[in-house]
Amino acid sequence: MTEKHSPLDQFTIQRIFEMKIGNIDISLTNSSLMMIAVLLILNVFLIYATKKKSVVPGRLQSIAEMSYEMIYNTTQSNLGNDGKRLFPLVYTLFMFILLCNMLGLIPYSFTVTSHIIITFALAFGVFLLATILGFVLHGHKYLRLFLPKGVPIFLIPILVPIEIVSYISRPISLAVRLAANMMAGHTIIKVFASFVVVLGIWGIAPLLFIVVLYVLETLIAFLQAYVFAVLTCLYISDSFHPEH
Amino acid sequence: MSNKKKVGEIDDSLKELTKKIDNIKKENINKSSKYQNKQFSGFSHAFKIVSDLFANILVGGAIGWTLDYYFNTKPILLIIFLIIGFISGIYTSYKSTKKLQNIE
Repeated sequence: MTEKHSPLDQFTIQRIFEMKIGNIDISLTNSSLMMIAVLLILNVFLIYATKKKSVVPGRLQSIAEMSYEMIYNTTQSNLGNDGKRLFPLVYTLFMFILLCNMLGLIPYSFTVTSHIIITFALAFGVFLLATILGFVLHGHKYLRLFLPKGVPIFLIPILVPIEIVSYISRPISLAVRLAANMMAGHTIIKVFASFVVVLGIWGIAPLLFIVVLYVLETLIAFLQAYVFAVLTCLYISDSFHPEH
Repeated sequence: MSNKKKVGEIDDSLKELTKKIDNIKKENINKSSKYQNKQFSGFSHAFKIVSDLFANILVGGAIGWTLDYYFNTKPILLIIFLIIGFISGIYTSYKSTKKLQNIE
């Protein structure tokens, strides 16, 4: 019985409703269903929470205000006044990833962010935005990003490829971090859950461990969303000031 | 005459007051952002370094392999770019750590 449940089974994508346009498969899968649910919950929550606008905020309103203020302060401290224009993007990214991570922790649900293609799509969007913004604001001077000031001439052929590799690796680093963290956590929980079944009465030990792991996973779910938002700010701030 | 002088003095003191208020506002912004950063900066920095090391080597290897494929120079460019990727991984984490130290 236990052999059939691999710890990686939770990441398989199942088609719920099959659809096709020409040769392109646009079926509704459990992944896209989760994303639609996340967007719905996010919109309903934020609209409902900020409806009353009381001076002394209630529970929901204070959650909405706290998340808003946290991301606002982050964009302010990383981007300065330019951050005001990019705040909506960073806030949307943060809330979307946070809710994807959190809803993935509910048993029998699906963790959207454990698939590297989804996190890579998000990260590559940020990367494209930062690159285009840099070239629009600075023109060809944006390429100074690859050549730090005060570098001796004989170091240039070594340093430029290094800077280029480190620039290209940014979206991959963002994507791998988020996906690997979510996947590793969920796999570990599943593995320890299988120990509970096998060990019988002594299964109480791994069960307690799972409880502790769940707390850690909740922390990581929040932290990864925050890290994604902070690094989005950092990368975009490079396109405003490429000289550093 | 004396009235005009007083108006001038009031203007000066008003300017001083606005300066003071501006300074306090700036300090408050700095304080809140620093507090915000300190809570999670350690965690986020650790996560950043780990994945940066990994991603840089990956990208270096990918670039080297692709160039090898097009120029038919099989293992040479792959090895060179893997080394470059490794160096750039360490260089990136060194730079971001230095930035963090400057903020503190």
